[in-house]
Amino acid sequence: MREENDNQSLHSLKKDWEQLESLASHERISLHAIQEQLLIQKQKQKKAFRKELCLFTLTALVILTIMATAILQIPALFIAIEVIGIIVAPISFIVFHYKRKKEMFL
Amino acid sequence: MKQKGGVTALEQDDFILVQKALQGDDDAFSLLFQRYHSFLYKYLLKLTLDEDLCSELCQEAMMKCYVNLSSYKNEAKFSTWMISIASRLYMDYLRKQKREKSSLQRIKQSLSHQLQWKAKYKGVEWSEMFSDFNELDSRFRIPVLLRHYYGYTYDEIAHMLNMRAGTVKSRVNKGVNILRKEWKE
Repeated sequence: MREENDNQSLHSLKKDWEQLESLASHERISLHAIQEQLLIQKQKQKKAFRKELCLFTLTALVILTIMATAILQIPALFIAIEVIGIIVAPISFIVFHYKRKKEMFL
Repeated sequence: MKQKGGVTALEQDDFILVQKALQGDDDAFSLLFQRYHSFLYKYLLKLTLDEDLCSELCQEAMMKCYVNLSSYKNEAKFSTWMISIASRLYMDYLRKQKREKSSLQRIKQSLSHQLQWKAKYKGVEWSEMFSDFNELDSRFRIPVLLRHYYGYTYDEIAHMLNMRAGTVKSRVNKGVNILRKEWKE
């Protein structure tokens, strides 16, 4: 009985979904429109790559400068940075990994 | 047209187009996407209930498919792979919305004004279940839709949504149970 009711309700729901599909005003997308969007995306990707490369180089330079200064001027600070890095890096990786996994299951 | 091993001619053709697209043939990708665009659009429309948002997500899904085409393993149909990408994009969109609004504020899911107007103009009437379904949390809404409208198996949905088949089954059952309670009231 309960199953029959469920089937009936799900059947009406299916009908609603079909009605919703019939309301959609979208037309068949043209190949030209898709290709145009791909072209825009490629340009965007190129731009993003250049930006990322610049940022990466800049960050690497800053880090290298700090490390070189620390090694030459304050060796104790250099050792402290290394130790903190060894401890903090795996912890933050685990935390972010679990946070992401949890979000995906939500 | 089924062939030996249960692979249809269309699926075989899709595979050829994917191979061509992977070699840098954008025309092949365009053809492939054009083939399933309507399917993807209609799927997203049932989740978003808003044509503008639906088009936006469709476009995003296309770009994701294009960029990540190498990760398509041909284990499932291309359309299934597209739906899994679109579902994740939709969930990301909802997460972003939740963060932007308030974690306590529930996102209202109802037909956009444009669709409401169209439905009124065409004399379309919705069943009570429709609004109940649209008010369901996306955790239940997506698996219920994929199972009861598209007829995907629990394993297929699990693969699409990156979760265990048991979790999918319990979410589908819980979703239907919530709806059943609403229908009784």
